[in-house]
Amino acid sequence: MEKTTLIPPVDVFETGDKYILVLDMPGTTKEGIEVSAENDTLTIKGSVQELSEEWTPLSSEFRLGDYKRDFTIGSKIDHEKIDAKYDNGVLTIELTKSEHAKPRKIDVKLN
Amino acid sequence: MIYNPVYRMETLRKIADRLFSGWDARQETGYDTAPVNIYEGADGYLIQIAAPGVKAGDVSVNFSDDILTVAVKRTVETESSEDKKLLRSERGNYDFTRSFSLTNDVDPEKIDAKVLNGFLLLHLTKTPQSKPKKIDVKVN
Repeated sequence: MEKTTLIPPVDVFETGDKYILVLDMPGTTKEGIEVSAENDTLTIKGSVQELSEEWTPLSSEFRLGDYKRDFTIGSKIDHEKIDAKYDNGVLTIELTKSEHAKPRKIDVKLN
Repeated sequence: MIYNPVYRMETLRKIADRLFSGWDARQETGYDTAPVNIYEGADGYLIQIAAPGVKAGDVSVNFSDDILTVAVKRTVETESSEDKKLLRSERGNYDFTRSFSLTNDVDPEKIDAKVLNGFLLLHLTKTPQSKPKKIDVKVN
């Protein structure tokens, strides 16, 4: 089958000190996932594992392909603190906010 | 919405839906059933269903009267909670059932289902009679 590049759907969450990305990437393996941060861009790639040669397609309703998606992360993210976890076709990435982007409690002085 | 690996096309379809339908006619796009790929091998058939994040317990497979029925359910977070704000939601939940009418070359005793790397894979074995046989021709 012709190989295409697919854009994996994502859910994005924000907590006090993190951004969490959750991506659906069925057909990949942990070894086939590549996450890199360069300048302002976080790039996620996943290569799909091909079925063995013995299987001939009879009917295809969805396409298989490698995945790629870029996210602009800017200066709000600490590039040294990016964690990725893969479980059964779902990639979860935790991005830690850089110190200046975290919510701060500011004490107000009353005179 | 059912998971659709062809995300770019789905997005275009949504745009098209918006263009061609009035505001009051808006509807959630998505498949009303799960997309499936079917393959044939020498010894059987393979049914491949995209089911990222689905665990074995979320799947039920039944076979009766020559009909194979597969039900898959997935629940993901689609709302913000107090300390976790949902900024973007593209993945969605799904709950689908799909049935397959099996040809008589499938051995109903040998239907195997497994969840692997985000796919639900159903492996159907052909009955011994229907497998391609290699016949040695004796040449005298």
